[in-house]
Amino acid sequence: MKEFILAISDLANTSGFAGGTWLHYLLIAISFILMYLAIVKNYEPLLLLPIAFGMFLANLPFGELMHPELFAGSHINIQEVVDKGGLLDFLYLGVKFGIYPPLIFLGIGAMTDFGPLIANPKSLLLGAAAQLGIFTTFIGALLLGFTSKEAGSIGIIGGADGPTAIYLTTKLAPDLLGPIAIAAYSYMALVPIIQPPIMKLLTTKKEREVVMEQLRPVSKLEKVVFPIMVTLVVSFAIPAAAPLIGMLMLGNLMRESGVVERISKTAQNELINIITIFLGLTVGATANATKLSDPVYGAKTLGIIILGLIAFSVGTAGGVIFGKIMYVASGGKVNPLIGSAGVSAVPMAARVSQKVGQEANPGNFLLMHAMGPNVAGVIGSAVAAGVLLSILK
Amino acid sequence: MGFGLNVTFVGLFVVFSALILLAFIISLISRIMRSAQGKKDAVKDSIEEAVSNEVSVTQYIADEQAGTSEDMPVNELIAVLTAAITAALKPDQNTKIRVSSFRRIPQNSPVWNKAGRTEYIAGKL
Repeated sequence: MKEFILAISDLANTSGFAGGTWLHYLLIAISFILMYLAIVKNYEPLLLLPIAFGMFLANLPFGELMHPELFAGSHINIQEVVDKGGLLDFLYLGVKFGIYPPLIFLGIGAMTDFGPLIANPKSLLLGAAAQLGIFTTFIGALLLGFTSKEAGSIGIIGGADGPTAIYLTTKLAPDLLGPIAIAAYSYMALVPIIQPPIMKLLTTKKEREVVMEQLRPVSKLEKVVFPIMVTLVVSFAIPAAAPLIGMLMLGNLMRESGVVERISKTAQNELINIITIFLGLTVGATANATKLSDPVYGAKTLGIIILGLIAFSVGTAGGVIFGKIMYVASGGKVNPLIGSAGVSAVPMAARVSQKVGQEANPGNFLLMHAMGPNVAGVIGSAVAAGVLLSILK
Repeated sequence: MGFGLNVTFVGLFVVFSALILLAFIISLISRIMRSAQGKKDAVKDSIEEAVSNEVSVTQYIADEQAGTSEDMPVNELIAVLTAAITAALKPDQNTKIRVSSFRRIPQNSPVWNKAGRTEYIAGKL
């Protein structure tokens, strides 16, 4: 009987219940909230569900699925990872080496129709204006005491582009990858909640009611030349942006050329889905109780969450304000609501422009007009990341 | 703070410059392609005109459809709707169709479907 009690007691001591701290339980609770948002509210479930479950798995006491200490500092001891690593550690190498973000961009390029942007090149300006959030948040983060590299990584959350945020953070401030990636993806999922109040606040009903003219059809030749030309111009101007822009445009060329349908379909389906699972799981797993128990790191995480929201809001406001300028300059032909789509978050931000526009005028159909600034925002945030990388590295 | 402002101005300047340059190049390429296409079409049109004297109604239809629904008089809209229903139902000669009222129904299909339809219709015009 004594042996039986001893065995039960040993088992209890090695169970998660004995090893869990309040931080483990807090993070598990947050993961449940994220799962709820993904499953019940349907907010970006493709991303939020693996992120939430990754966070859940990494915070199971004694689960040993993720060892953040293996990735501390700027150098990784591969042998140590092989010896001690768990499942999520191995998958995390793809994030750490900066492999996943360009591959995700390959898939995004293969899925994206740049036709609305080619039909209305002026929408590139809205994609540029929405990057305002990145740089204003950069100043905010510096004022809060973050280093310049950390501030650059936090600012990029305002680009509303998960892969770009991860890519830049792995290069500039790898220690903050977890909170930055989670903030970026969570705020992207919350675009339908964050953006509409800002859009409505900055526009009048008359402006929101503007019905835009039908976009001209774009020829196949223009669509084929576009990715080659963008890669050439952007990579020559900002070489640091080449991995992201290059893969984005390769994916798009595969789609538009029409000669490699098989690999184009793989890039936009199987490949991007596999990478999304790996990326989501491992990004979620970086929100680890062990790391957060450090009070400095905890305070930084809180700062990142607040600054990330500011970055998103300022980016949205920048796009809408520039949209208002274009509304005036065009004599009322441009609906300023399409400006908010300049923050990337493809295609959700465009859908939000459509929804808010249709609320003001049921006959309004802004979706394709908003897709122009939306895809321009992807290029804009990659360029902004390249600039930050060039200046701060 | 000075460093922060410096990075912000440089960053915004580079982002705007790069995207303005892209917008300029896209416009230039589109213009060149359209003018080349326009020349091709002009040659094609003159050949077609020479071989056929048939009156093209395409332009007329395109002109009619270029106007928004708000510009279209109600009688014309009823005529279009009646013609569409007649064509779809293919009634026999004894059946007569009269459109007595019409109203916009709530849009239930996803916006992407509608965008696809609009694009498809625009491509056919």
